[in-house]
Amino acid sequence: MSTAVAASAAVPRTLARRLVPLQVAVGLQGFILWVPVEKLFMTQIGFTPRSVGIMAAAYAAVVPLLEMPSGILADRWSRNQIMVCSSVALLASSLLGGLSTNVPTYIAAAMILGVYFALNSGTIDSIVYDVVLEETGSSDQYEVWIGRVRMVESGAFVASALVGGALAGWTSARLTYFASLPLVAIAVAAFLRFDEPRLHRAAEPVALRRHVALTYRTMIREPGVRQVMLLAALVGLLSQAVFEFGPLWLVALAAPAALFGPYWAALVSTLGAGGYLTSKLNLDRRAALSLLALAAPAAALALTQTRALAAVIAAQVVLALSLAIISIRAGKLLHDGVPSNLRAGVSSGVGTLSWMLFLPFSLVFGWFARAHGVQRAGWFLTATALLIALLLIASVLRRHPRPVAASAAQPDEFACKELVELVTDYLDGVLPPELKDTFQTHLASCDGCAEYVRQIGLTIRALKEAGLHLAPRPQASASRDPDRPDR
Amino acid sequence: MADPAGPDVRDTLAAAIAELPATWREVIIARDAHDRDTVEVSERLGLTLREQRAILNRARARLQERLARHLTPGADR
Repeated sequence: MSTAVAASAAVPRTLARRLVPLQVAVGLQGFILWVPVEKLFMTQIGFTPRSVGIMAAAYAAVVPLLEMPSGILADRWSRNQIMVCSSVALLASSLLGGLSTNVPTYIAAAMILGVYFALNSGTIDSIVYDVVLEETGSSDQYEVWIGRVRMVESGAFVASALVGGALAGWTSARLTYFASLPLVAIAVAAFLRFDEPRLHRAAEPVALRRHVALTYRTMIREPGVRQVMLLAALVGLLSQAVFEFGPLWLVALAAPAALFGPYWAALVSTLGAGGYLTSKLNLDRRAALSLLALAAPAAALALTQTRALAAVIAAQVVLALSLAIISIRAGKLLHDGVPSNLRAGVSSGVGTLSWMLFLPFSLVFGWFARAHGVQRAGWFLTATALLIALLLIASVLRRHPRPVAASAAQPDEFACKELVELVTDYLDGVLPPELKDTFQTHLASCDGCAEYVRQIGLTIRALKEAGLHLAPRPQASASRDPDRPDR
Repeated sequence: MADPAGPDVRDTLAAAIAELPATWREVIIARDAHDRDTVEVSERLGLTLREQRAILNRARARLQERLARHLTPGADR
């Protein structure tokens, strides 16, 4: 085996440029023109409230069933290809939906749409996280970039709602299904152009059975991961509840029909606004995070107290907005605690958990709201929001030292994990003096870390020895890396 | 423990380097194999110094992980 390894193409890449095709693809996937007129179309082809229920149930069964397997597949195979498959499912679903003239075919289309959602779930955020890690060496900018992706997505939702409605008005609801097809096809092309991160494939390959076991063990046995998963799943549950049941408050207060459109637009736009705010706020500041933790239960509490229409809408928007921000935060915490090769699987696990919680929640909520009024059912939202706030605060408290190699806490409060992160700064001589002292003190008292630093030294030596055999970086006339797709 | 310059280590190292993300590979080859200057490498790859060091740190850790069985005295790590 030759030790000559070609360095890759000579173009310096930036994170921003690399993420462009992904953002284009996500935007086009979100631009589904038939969404705003779906219910209208369904009525036209013969749906009744009962068959709508059957369709929702069929759809709801597909998503949680496929989420974890597709996440694990994304980790083992290719996340990009999974996104291509998800676009193809969206394409097939739109086509079959548009061709439908009866209830059963449309239900089949809805189930294919479920496949699209299952494939999508947990994949995009895993891709963004690993690209940020690959291009900057840390996850610090993850929230900024996933925030931008969410903005693009939400902008596409809003635009497609407006355009789709207008298009259906001019032509027919059926045409919106066919008009969506070329856009999704372009999304496929954009995903194919995207230079996928490869971190999840860098580890030594493991057998499928072991990979599945590892994914479940990470979710169930790691206390830190378990707690963050619960946080993320509860945030998913509560946002779904706000979108699903929020309009009931307006119905109970006899809001005029014209108000529902702007109300819905405000609610949907919180997804993008949350992304924007996340990229502006520094959520590492405890004050910002505490405010966020307070805002959600306070807004939910307001829903149980007020009967003023404006206050109800404002409370729901604040609740949805804070949940959008917390969800990005929870995603970062989750990804920080999970290795790349398990990332999409664990992230999809959150989606599944959220679905599993939502089913009983919605049944109880629905029953209680019918019996005691929706305002009092708001206490369920408040309780969930409180739980979210507690988990969010707990995540800040347990953020820091978590030893990796040694299990006992070091006397100098310097965790092994932190040492691992600082080794290169130490060797480059750029550690501030006080940190350097702590580093050395820790090193002297921790055998595991001393061995680690010794092995890093040997690794560097091995690289130097191999230096002559490692291909120099090609200058201006770039040779292409055979492992990397064309961009 | 194997010799860091021995053929076993070299082969594992080459395989591990090939699996690194492109930017990580460029950084670690330039910095550790070819002893290039930190500032020069950062500028050429369009990275900040901090990013460059963070990438180098992760790349070294990844390679150490793959080489561990050759570098650890006695048993597998």
